[in-house]
Order: sequence, then structure tokens, then C-alpha cells
Amino acid sequence: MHAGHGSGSGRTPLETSLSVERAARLVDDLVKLLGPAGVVADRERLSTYESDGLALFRQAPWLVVLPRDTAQAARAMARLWAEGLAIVPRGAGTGLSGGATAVQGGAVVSTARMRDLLELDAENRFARVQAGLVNAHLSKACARHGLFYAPDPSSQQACTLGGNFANNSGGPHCFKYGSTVRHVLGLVAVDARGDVLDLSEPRLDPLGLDLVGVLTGSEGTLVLATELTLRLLPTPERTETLLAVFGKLGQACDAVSDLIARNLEPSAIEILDRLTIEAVEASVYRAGYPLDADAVMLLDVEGSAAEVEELVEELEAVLVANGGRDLRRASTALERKRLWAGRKGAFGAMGRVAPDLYVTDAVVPRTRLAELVAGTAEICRELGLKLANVFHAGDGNLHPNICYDGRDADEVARVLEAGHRIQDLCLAAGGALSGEHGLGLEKRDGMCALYNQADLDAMAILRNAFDPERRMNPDKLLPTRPCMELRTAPPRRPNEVRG
Amino acid sequence: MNTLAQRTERALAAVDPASRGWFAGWQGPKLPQVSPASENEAAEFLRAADGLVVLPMGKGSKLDWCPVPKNVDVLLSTARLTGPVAYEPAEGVLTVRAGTPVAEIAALLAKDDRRIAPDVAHPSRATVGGAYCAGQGGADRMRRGTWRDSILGARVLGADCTVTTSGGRLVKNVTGYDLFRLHGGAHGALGCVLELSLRLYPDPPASAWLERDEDDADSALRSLAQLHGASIQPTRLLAFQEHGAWRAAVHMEGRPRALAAALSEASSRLPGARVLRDQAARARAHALRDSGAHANAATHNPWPLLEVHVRPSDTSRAHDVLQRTAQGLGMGAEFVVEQALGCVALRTQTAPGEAALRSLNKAVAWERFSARWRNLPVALRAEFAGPPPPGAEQMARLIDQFDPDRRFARGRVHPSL
Repeated sequence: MHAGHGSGSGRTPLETSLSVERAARLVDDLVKLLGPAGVVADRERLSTYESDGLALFRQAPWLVVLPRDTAQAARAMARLWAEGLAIVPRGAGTGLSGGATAVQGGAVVSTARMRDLLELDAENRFARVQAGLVNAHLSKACARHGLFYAPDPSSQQACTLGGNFANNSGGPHCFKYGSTVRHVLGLVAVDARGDVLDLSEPRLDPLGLDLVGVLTGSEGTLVLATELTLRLLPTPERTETLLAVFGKLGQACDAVSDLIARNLEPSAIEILDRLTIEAVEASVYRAGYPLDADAVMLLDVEGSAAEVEELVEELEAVLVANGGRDLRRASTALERKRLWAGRKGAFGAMGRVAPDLYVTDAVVPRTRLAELVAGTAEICRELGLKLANVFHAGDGNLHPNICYDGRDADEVARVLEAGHRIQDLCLAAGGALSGEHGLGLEKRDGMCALYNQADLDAMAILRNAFDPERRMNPDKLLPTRPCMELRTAPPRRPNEVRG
Repeated sequence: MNTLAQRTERALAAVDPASRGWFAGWQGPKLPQVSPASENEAAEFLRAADGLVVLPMGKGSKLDWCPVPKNVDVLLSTARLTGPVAYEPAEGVLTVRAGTPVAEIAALLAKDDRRIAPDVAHPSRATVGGAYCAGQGGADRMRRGTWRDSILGARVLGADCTVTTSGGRLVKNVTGYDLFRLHGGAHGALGCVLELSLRLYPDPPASAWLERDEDDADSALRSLAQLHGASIQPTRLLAFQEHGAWRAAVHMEGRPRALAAALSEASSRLPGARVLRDQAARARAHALRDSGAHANAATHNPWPLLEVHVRPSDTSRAHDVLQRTAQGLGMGAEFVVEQALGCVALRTQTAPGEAALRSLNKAVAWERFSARWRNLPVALRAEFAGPPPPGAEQMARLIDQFDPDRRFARGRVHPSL
């Protein structure tokens, strides 16, 4: 018997496998626990939660709960557990791999109302935050103490720190400072049963197994992080932002490989190609990138004044030797901000190119950047797709962005084919499926191309240790069928969200 | 064939005679040791060792850090699994077999001006896998962090005798669960690490070491605070005792001009300090790498060492508590204090009696400091392990799930695990 229940609004609910009575009782209990604002159960409002940033996969949940703190989250999740519901954790929904796609008939636990900065300890250089705090808000809050939080995804004005934790997110400056896992000192989390795991005390060398490390990047499949203890870094004495122009995209890629081979370590090395430059310059993010360039490279160099000066000189020499021209340093803070706003707004700017954007995320060996970027361009050319490249070149983290129209079924099919072919190209070169977006639904089955069944079985042991019933974000991250089967199965289509 | 001796004989027969031996270089029992020369041989041995409890190890330099397991029948050493598997200097990643001594890795990388982190003590005795599995910290922790910041992937022999991979050979990668992270600090409880991939760092061309004699601990810690506020990006900042005298020191590395500027600033904050440069600076830094070693001796300090970890703002108080307690007990002790990291190391100078050690441990427990002992008498190790670490229940569950038949020795992470 299927039933639905509204939250008192009178709007139509979605279906669940629970009986009418049980469903009603569950919603009532959750409203009592979280208040009316903490429960969403009507169809109209639930549609907000039907996808994350990867709109190719859509599924509205039956219910959304929005706890205010760990205690509420624990009690709500225990209640959901008792009813046998699947739970999908969600931050701001900016993820790009379908990791927050809901499960039919299941619940979403959103951290949207958990946005408090719980503790800012400037002396000991850490902050304790609720998982729903927006990334950029943390750095803003600690700036007056001369501190900042290093991971800076392009979506940092919207994405949450809990979402960053779940995906082990990166960003341009992770070239120097590393991804989120290097900045999480502790956490409080709730598992599927509603049990709380408290590892919040900041520890440089925690005793025993590195639970914090292994939970970071687990994409909400093991626990829901409710609080995070994050490392803060002192704001560098000086920052220089450099812009270099290249006549060929390949030259820019080769320059990056050369910089790394020469042990030169700026804080960020980003490349934007011609289509991206045109989109940015035509948008509100206009940064002053030259329109005649095939590519521009944006670099940040941070450190002491002497260190920055010495490194900038060495960098400039290598850039010029690799065909870089019109090198320019941002002369004011405003100019620096503008140059970076163009980079960070690039995804948004591409809305001018086509109504939809498929953001691919792959990592390749840094010695083969030029060859593999050219390979992705060739794949899209063959399939008649518009490709824009904007990527974390220093980490070898490619983001081939395919601009398309989601109303065109044929184009959508070609986009997906391109995604698979780009993935295969990168893996064949020794690359990885994802550098910072995670696997979610999109790349889950790609795990079979990278790992063997024994590797995946070992990963399943970890999952079973935390969530033997697979209630937490089921169907994400690990293939739901044996690799032998997947290798002979036809490719999945959009919205085939179940295994 | 079911007696322990028979099971052991059968397991040893599965490996090449050159891989067999005995190990007595710890305070545990003398035990048969198998040192396979390949992944396959390691897996073959584990398959044949059905019914035996196996303790994975590197070269054994850190076996005395932890309790001796109650049940262990045979040692599985990675000491013959050595050498690089993949090394592309321009990529900035090294994949290496777990038994490779850290010093060999350093020699390999030096020609390309690269290094690994952490910069662990006793690099010729320590294998990279052993250092990782013991969670051994490095002298460059302030700048380069812990193993979590450097390990990119691993291959591990699990309890089911299969060798599995997690992570990869790329500096950035979020593909699947990072199972390799569970092995750092696990002392082999989940399996035997056979291979590691590490992020490489530039080996800075210039190095400087500043050191100044201080009147006492307070003066040395004030000097550290002065330096910590400077924009010198130190590799290490420490106050330490040598032959009873207190010193404050800073180790800095970088490009020549940048280092000269940092040196100038550090010198102005630490007037009168002695300055060592490049090779001399590195030699001094290496000599002081291990908080447990005498600064002026290459020999291993056999006496117990206590390391407490607190929030950096509590470092001074933690030092006061330990110093007062040690003095009250008449215990000869010297300290290494790394204020910015919240780390205080107390190395005993003579063989302290068990009663004195118990009193010191009681003071540490009373203050709820996070403490680690090294080189304790075997009888005290389990007793001094302190309360189970946060997350112990989950750790125990993980160990049970990965090793349901108890193939690997337990109790080294903590007696409760």
C-alpha cells in the first residue's frame, strides 16, 4: 500500500512504500521534532530537491528533513531508520556528479539550516562549524584574524563545507594547499541509525585508524557530517596574481608541465580556453581576458614578499620560454579580484553559450596535459559538441565543459557519449575518474574501469562497517552490480538512477 | 597437522628458504619471521598461514612503541619488498614498495631535487611502510603536515589473502573510498601494506638553522612565540634541552633570496643566535629530528619517551605539568617542545623506576593530555595506553570487518582494539 502525506499545506505529496498511517505518523513525529520549517513533504517544494548540479539525473525525494543541529539530525535519522527509509545527505545541492540525487520514496537530510560557526579559535588556528555553513563565509569570518580556509571550489559562494567534506572538494588553490582532506581536523557525524560519532577535537596526529581521513570524500554513503573542525591558515604576507596569454592551448598545457618539472610551486595554476574566455568576457564576470587568445593562464603566487618576488621571476621566465606572452601582474587588489571572478564565474558565464552545461571532472598525469586536452577536444569535435575548457592545470584536474541543449535528446545522448569517451581517454593515460566532484551516480560504474572486483569488495567492507543495510545515499559511489555484468551492459541513460 | 608448530612449519614451507628467518629484535618473544620477496610470495604465505596470527612489520624499528600483542605466531616483514615501482620526477609522484628504507628514497629523489614528507627519524632503519603504519611524525610537520597529506594510494595484502589497491598515483584524486588512509597508524591491524604512492615535494635549495641558548624553558618558549608570529614559514620551530641547557631553534628552507630575507627577519627576532647554513643546517636538523634521541648521539635512546599532544595554546602549561611532575619524582628528564604544534616530548635520561613512570602517567591522565609512550617496559605498555581513542568503537568494528578471522595481530593500536 502506498501513501503520501503533506506537511499541512494541503499540497499533493509524493509516494512512499509506507502505509498511509505510518507515513502520517512519521511526518507528524518529524514536525514535532524539527518544527514545521524542518520538514518538507509537498510535491511542489520537493521538486526543489530533485537534482543537484548534475540535472541529467532527476528524482524527487518523498520527504526532506532539515535539522538545526547534531541532536536533531540524530533523532530524525533514527526515526527514518526505524521506518526503513533511504537517506540522502544534501548540502547546497551544488554537486556535479549526482551525489545528492534523491532516492525514490526516500528522505533527504539537508544541512541547509545548520549554518552556524560554532567556534573560531584564532590562536590555535581552527574553526568548528556546522556542516551547512557556506564555504566562503568561513574565510570571511576568519579574515579579521589574519586567517583563511584554503579549499576554494568555484562554487564557494554557495557550496557548503559539509558538501566539500563529502566530496573532498578542491578548488584552484588546492594546488598548493591540498584538497579538503588535508584541512579537516575533526568532525561530528551521524550514521544511518542515528548514532553520533564525535571526533571533533582537533588532532594533528590522531591515535589509531584515520577515521576522519577515510570519511572525507565518502560522498554521504557512510555518515552525515553535522559538524566539522577545520584547519585555518595564516593569510600570506603577499599575493601576486599573474595572467599569461597563449596563442595555443597546447602551449599553455606544456608550460604547466614544465613548471611542475622544475619544482616551481605557485598556489594556483588555472587555464581557460578560447570559448571560456569569450563566454566570460561577454558576461557579468568580465575580467579583461584578451579575446584574441587561444588560452590564458591565471596564477597566484603567495608567501613572504621576498619569496613571491623570487618565484614570480622564475615563473615568468618559464612561461615566456613556453610561448606565454603579454604577461601581466594584477596591480591592485581590485584587479586581482576581477581576474579571479572571471575564472570562478566561468561555469555561470557559459549559460550564454548554451542552455545546459555538462561539467566533466577527470584527473590526468601532469606530464601529459597537452595531449589529453587535445584528445578531449577531438572527441567533442567528432560528436559535434561545443567544448569549453577551464581547469586546475597544476593538479592535472581537467574540466572539459560541454555546452548543450537538454531539450535536444540526440544532443544529450552525444554529450553522454562524450563523457564516457573522455573518461576512457583519461583512464587509459593513467588518470582518475574524478579530482574533486566525486563519483555520485554519474561515475559510479566507471569504478570498474579503474579498480578490480577485489578492490571494490574491499571498499564494500568499509561501507558495510558503517551502513550494512545501505541506507545512506544508496546507489552512489560503488557500482551496484558486479563489474562483470556492467562490462557487458549497455550504457545507462539519464534518470536511470537505480542500479 | 594442527599443533602450532605444525601450522607454522606448513606456512614457512610455502615461501622460499631465503624468505625465512627468526626475529628477536624486540621485547616480545622470539618468533619466526617471513620476509617475502614479492607480493605473490606474501599472499602465498598468508594463505598457508591459516590458523596462525600474523604481525605485519617493516624492519621492526617501531615494534617497541606499542604493547606486544597477546596473540602472535609469526612476523611478516616487508624488508625485502624494496625499491621504486614507478617514478616520474616531472609528475611529482613516487610509487615505492613498502619495505624501502626512507633513506633510500631520499637518495633516489635527491638527484631530482625532490623529497618526501614526513621527514622521519632514523631514515635508514625506518621503512616507508613501517613509518606510515606506525603513524610516525616528521620533523617537517609544521610545513608539510602528516602522512595524510602525502600518501596518495596503497596496495595492501588483506586478511582474505588478496592484494587490493585504493587511491592512485595522482596528486589529486577522489575516486572511491580512500581505504589506504585506514592503514596509517593502524600498526598492521587491517592488513600488510605492500606498496605506497607518495606526493613529492621540492627539495629546497637553501637551508638555515638558527639556534640560541636560553636561560630556561620560559625564555625558550617566549622566543618560539616571537618566531611563530613572523612571516618566515619555518620547517620546524622548537625549544629543547641538550645536556640540561635550554635552546630555541628554527629551521628554515627555501629559495636562496627568499631564505636570506627570512633569515634576516628570524635573526632580528632571535638576536645572538648561531646560524648554520645549508649542509650544516641540514645536519643539525637531522640530528634533532627524533625527540627521543640524544641530540649529540647517533645511538638509539633506550629509555622511555613520553609525547603529549595538546592544543598549541596549552603547550606551555603541558610542559610545566610534565616538568614539575618529573622534578617532583626526581626523574632525570629533558624536553623537546614544539609550541606551534602543541607537542611536548619528555625523554627520560636514565632508567626510571616503574613507580616513577606510573606517577608521571597518572599526572598525564589527570590532565587528560593525549599521550603516547615509547620504549616502555613491556609490562607497562598496555597499562599506559590510556583511554580508548575517540571512535574506538568504529575502529573495532572496522578491524572486525576487514579481518573477521583474526589473521592479523591486534592490540597494538590500543589494547581495546
